[in-house]
Amino acid sequence: MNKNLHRLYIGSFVVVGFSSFIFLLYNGFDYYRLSMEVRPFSDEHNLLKPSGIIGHGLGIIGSIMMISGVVIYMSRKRFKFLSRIGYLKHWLEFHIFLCSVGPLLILFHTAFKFGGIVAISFWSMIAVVISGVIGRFIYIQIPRTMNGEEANLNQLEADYNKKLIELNLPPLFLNDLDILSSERKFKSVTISNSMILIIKDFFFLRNYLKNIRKKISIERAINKSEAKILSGLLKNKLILERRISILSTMKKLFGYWHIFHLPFAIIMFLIMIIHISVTLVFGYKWIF
Amino acid sequence: MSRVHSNLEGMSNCTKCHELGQKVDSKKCLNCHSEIKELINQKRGYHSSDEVTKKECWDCHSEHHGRNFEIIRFDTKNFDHAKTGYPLIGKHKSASCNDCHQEKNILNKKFKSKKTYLGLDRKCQSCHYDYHQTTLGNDCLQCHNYNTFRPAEKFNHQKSKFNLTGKHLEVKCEKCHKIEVRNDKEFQKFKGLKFSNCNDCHVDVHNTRFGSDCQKCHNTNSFLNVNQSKFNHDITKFPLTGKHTSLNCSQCHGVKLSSKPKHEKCSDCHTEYHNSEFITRESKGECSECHSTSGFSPSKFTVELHQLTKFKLTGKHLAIPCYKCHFVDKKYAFKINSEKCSDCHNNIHLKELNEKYLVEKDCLNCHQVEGWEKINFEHSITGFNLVGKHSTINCNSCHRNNQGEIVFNSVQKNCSDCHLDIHLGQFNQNGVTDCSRCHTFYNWKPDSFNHNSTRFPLTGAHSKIDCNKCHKTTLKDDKKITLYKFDDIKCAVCHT
Repeated sequence: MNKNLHRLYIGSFVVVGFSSFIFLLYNGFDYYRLSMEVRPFSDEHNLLKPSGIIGHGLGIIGSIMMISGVVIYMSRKRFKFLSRIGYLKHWLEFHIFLCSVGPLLILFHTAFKFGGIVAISFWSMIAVVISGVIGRFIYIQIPRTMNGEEANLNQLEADYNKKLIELNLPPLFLNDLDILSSERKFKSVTISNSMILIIKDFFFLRNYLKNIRKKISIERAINKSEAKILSGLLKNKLILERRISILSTMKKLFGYWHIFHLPFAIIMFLIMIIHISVTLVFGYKWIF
Repeated sequence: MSRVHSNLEGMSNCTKCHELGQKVDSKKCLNCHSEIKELINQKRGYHSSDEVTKKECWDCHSEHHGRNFEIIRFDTKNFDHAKTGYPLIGKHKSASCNDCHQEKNILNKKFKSKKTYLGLDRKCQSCHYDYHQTTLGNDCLQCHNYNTFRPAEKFNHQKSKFNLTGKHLEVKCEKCHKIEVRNDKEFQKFKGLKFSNCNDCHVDVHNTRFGSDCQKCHNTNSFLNVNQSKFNHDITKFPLTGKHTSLNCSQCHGVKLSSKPKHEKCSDCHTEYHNSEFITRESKGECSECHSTSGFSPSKFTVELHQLTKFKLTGKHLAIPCYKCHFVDKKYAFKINSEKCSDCHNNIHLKELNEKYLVEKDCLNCHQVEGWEKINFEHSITGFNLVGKHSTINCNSCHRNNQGEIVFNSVQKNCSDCHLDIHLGQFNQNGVTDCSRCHTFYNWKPDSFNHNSTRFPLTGAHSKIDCNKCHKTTLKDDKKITLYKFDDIKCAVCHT
């Protein structure tokens, strides 16, 4: 998958996700604003209630999306015969898409009414989604090859230096870059302070790169397009340096994350199965 | 779950409402809500209407919408109450639901203390206070409609045992159907009123003296409109006779007939016309002495009774009507103090009659009660004796002038005042002709004339010849006269 196709791939997910959210919100805004006691008297109730044509449909589609999102991604990871099909990164992105839009549809399926045993499933789903977001954040802190394997420090350094050489930058300017980058130190990073450190570094890098761009602009060492490339490479290098610095900590954190993410997902599915089963047993079969 | 179904919360209770494979089964709802089921089976109430029978319970009464969810909620303003089998009519249309659907109106104990629209009875009394306190039965709609309690528009008094007629149609209900307090509440009595007799409501102003059947004399148009022909006044202390029988009751008893007139004396009702003229009588002027109920006139005071008075009627007085003497100044007056004729009669003679002739007997000096024309006057007292022909002639011959007026004083004693001097003043001496020198009162012949006493005594042949031989008829002043007096008495005057 080339870069543009990937962008289209990701873009379509974003468009589908946001448009679904906006459509559902716009469609039922008046209804969802009503209190629980008043909703049954709304004209939209029969459509948007959890057991309504739309509400129930959202529940079914959302559930299918989540189940398929999990099943597909886990299968890709677990089964060898699937390991050669596409990049794991793309499977993950599809997993994120299905497991983001799915809970969104489930949210509208609930019509923002969170009660009963199935609420455990719902809140578990929320926990899974939030942990997914956090996991995705941790995940990107761990440098990988395109195959998702952890890149070693040397490889990262080699890639960086190679790119510096390609640009043929003046030695003096390079020296200045090194001096600036050497100011960042990542010592005593623990699991507990890692997140704060990353956030702090995020703001540091923003100011740092801003200053670099300013310096390039003043000294006019390179033209604008080259300055932009350099700024991007520098940003990548610095991020990579940070990731390398906290890699071991992130690895540990990611290990803990799995312990958190998976059980909630299991709880969610178990209760969801019970919920769906009870629904079917009592005769709520949507349009079937 | 809503508050009313909160007891059904919990996983173990799902199947109490839900039927496996069939969502919520209305039968399960009705198993608990047996009162609705009962109504549906009886095809009564809103849940038996076409609008509801096509629906399942949860279409209107869904659940799982929170504790405060109104499981019974509908558009109370636009709800078609007729679908309950009890259409809202009249005032019921404007009543709010809670006016009727409230606990105190629910008779069935199983619905008490529940927020429900069930349990009301269609009987009016189930919501409305029975103003009549069960005295008029249970079917209010026999008399009342849904529009207003007062007046009872459907009530037709004419269909009651007591038809309203006349004034009874106008009288306010409260007049007969008194408002009282019964059981500490206002109560108007409609049943059990006695009405067989007028006196049941009306005060018998006659104190039962005329019996109890008021309608013999009165009718319902007016108490004052008395049927006189039916009332027997003879049963009263004052039987009606004569003119009294034709009187209208109100003339004695007042316009309202409420007056109880005294009736011992005529003057109790009648004005004493005679101004107590007869008060000195033994009867103290009792009217009945002279009058009867047949009318004031004619009076019972006969001529015979009149003869017992100081003024006995005689002559013409017997024939004349009473008023001729007793109607004075447009009013009857019976007590006439003077007995003089002139008290009643006018002196037509006025100054022609010397007052000395009215002394003592007044007119009777000349006249008699038998008639004015019968004169009984001693003419000699006038100094003019009636002698001869004067004693035989009618008074009018001398005492009625040319205008026909009776004259006395203006009649002189000279002959020429009455008689014509046919001699045209031949015998006038000093302006006066004295007829008696030749004539007497017995005839016009000159009986007292003596020719010899004239300046021409008759002698010889003159004494034998007729008078007219000498006294020829001649004309004087175009009038024929016999010439008696000659200026010249010489022979040659007569003899040639």
